[in-house]
Amino acid sequence: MRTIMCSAGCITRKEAVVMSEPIIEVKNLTKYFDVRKYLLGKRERVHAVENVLFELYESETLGIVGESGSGKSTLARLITGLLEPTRGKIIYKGIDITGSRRAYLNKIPKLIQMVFQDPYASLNPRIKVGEAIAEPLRIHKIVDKKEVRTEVERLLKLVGLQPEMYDRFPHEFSGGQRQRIVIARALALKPEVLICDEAVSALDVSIQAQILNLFNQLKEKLNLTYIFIGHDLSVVKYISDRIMVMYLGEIMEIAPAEELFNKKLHPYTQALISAVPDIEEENKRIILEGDIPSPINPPTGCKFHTRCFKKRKICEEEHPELKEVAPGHYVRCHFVG
Amino acid sequence: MGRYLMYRILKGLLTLLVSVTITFFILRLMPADPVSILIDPKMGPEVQQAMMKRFGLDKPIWEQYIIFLKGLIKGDLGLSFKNQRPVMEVIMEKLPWTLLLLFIVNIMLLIIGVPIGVLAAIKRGQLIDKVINISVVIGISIFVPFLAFSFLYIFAYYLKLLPTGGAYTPPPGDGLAYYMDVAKHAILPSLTLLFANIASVVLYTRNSMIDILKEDYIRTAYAKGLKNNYIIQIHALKNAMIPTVTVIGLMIGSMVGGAVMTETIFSWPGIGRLIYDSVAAMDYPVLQGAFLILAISVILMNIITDLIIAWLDPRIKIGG
Amino acid sequence: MHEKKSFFQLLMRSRLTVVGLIGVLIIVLMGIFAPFIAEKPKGYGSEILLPPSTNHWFGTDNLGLDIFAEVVWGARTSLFVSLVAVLVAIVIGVPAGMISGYKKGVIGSIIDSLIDIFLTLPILPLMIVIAAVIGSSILNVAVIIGIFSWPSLARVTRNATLKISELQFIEAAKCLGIPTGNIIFKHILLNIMGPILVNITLIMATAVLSEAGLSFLGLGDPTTWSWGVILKKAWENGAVIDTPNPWWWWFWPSVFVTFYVISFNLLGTGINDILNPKPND
Repeated sequence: MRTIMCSAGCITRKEAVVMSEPIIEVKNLTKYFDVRKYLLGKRERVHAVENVLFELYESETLGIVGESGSGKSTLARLITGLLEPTRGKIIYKGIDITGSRRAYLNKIPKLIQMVFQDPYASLNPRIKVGEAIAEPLRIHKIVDKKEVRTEVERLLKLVGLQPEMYDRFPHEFSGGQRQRIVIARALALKPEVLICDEAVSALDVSIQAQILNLFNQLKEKLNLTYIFIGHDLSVVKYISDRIMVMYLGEIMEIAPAEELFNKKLHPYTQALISAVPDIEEENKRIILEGDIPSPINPPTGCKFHTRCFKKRKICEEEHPELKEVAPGHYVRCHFVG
Repeated sequence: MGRYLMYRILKGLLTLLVSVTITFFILRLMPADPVSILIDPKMGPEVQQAMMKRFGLDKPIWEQYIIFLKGLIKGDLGLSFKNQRPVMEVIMEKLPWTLLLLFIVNIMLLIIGVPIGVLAAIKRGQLIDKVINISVVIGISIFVPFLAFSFLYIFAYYLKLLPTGGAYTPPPGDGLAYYMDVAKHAILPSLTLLFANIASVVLYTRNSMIDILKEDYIRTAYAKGLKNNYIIQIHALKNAMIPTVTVIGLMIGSMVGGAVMTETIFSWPGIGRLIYDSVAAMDYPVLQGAFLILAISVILMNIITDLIIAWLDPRIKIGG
Repeated sequence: MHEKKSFFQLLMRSRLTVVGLIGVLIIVLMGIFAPFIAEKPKGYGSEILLPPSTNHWFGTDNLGLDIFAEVVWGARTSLFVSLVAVLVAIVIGVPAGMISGYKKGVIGSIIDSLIDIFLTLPILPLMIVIAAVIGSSILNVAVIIGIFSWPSLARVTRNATLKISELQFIEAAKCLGIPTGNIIFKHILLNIMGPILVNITLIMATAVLSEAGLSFLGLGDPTTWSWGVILKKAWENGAVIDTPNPWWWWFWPSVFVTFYVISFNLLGTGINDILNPKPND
């Protein structure tokens, strides 16, 4: 089988991953939202994230891909503590930081920061950009009061902006510049993990490349660990060491980036990769039928079966487990491994 | 629908309880307490005690509250300080007059206000729309007594066409003559309230018509070559009525406020005039009762308008 | 690229808003400089019920007092009452609206239901009951009006807060560990000043209508000149239907109440149009 014939490049990647320690361990993380369509209406349960289990290694970049509604943004918000999980645990360097426990753990939660999708919406339009960066510095007393301005100017330079921009308002900046400001603000707390939730999706392609390079430079300079969420596989591939594929709140496949692209074990991964336009690939494009099903009543059995081109009877009845098919390569499919 | 109705009634009852509680405690806890008003220091202590007992003022405040609530359910609002008649009886004499006035005004609001709003929407941006718009700003700003005084001055003082006040010429006549007489007396108060409230109806009808005229099905109707008037009547008006009915529902509360001043000026023998007279006489039980009856009327009318909206708007029916 | 215009320049673009602004200015100046414009009317005069003339622009009342002076001093009362009412409404309404908009749970629902209840109630009769009981000093009346003006402000604040708190920069602030108090009273408040300002202008208008209404019904402060008090006196003395008719007695205070309300309404609508431009309207 192809799994056995792993290329040399693949092994080096894997080694790089195995050598470092897990900085975050996500254990059986589950998030349900209870919603009501109208007041006094029937309660319905959205299965946003279901039983997600993975480890994030120090200094790596983990890419997460999936369509909208796959639960990747919810997962990011669970890890940053913006949402509380229904079940499961988040361990940061051996310390449980799940949910309300964060409140007692000074500073640690702040070591996981986030860069959001929309650079136009993630800065308060009424606050000067310098002040926006200074606010977390002051609140968490990261530097001495007198040094706040110098620190902000240093951060602005770090992300490639001029320190003179301190006193300007967000509307005076372009999308790319704003995203740099947002990154500077996230870096103010000296985080170790940076979660980028579709951080370049809203930008022009030329700007995307600049910001991606900035991410790579910062990673080297500050020894950062990234979780990079996106729906554009080519972008995620470019920046990630490992890639996790999510569908309806579940992990479908997780593997080192090269291996994922070379082997394409899960049908959903195949469909996603085939949709990337500029990958030199003679294979035909696999077009998935229909939309992602509602997370309110997810399909039984394999959640992907309603759109899968390899579907058989077992897929409707049995829920496949996430199996390790090669070291560091996990797939959730009845027909793999 | 059943759920929706239940929710509305529950909310109405809650609103009622809040109003009851507010009035009860305000009347009991404020510096000018009923005891000192009711009791003449010249009365002997036995008489004073008897008076206190009669009005239930000798019991602790919580007990008074419970007694008050119990009485309320039975329709007992206590006794008037002024003439010691049951408050309910006093109010029930006056309520029909207020309801008559509000009924006339609301019907007129619908048959006059809605067409003007539709006209403004169709002629949007044109001169007539601008005139209507400026009139609306003046209309929502006008002070009710100003309207009432102007009408009185023009029609009663200057032209001497209509009576200056009251609901009928005493002594009340019989049959048709009586109804004609009442109608004549009702003209000025109704006109006053109509003018005071029409602006909001016009404004909401206009704005909702404009939104609806932009919607796809109206364009489709145009494309199908249906006649202008037909499109507007059949397709748009029913939908435009939803916000209009909503706003009338919301306005009833403030309309009642306007009615108090209107009735006062025109000596219309309704609840509003009763409130004015009771303020002068410091007749707190009547004031309290009058407010509660008005609150109940407003809550009921709100529930009714909500049900009309549910009937007009199919989305609510399905949802609720 | 179009030039960025200042808020004031935008305000000046609509003629009706300018009219409103000038109206507000006139009333504010009248209120502030009342003692320099006309002597405070008191006691008795000899010239009873004179029609408007060069001596008495608005005529005189049955005590021979100058109605113009009464109206000028009435402006002062109206301003005082509406400012106090607005202040009270802000103190209650803005925090209530922001908390209920930001905290969507039980507290939010409770505050929202309260807003609903108060918006349904017939407020003028309720204010009458309360004013009748606690006594109608000018401050009492102002506070009562303020207490019943908070629901509309709270509703507006709540809706604006709901919209803003959905935005990403609020989430970003939470992620950065900014305390809830800072988020609500800095990040959100800075962004909802517009709708609050519009509503405040409208409350200024309705507060004067309420004050005039209460005074007219005999619940004003009889020791202070207010437009409602003048109207009450005129009406009680038969000024509207008596022959010969001293129309100036009820006409001028009524005109000023309406002028005040229109001015504030126009200004409010003007500010609102700038904040929420409607391209198709």
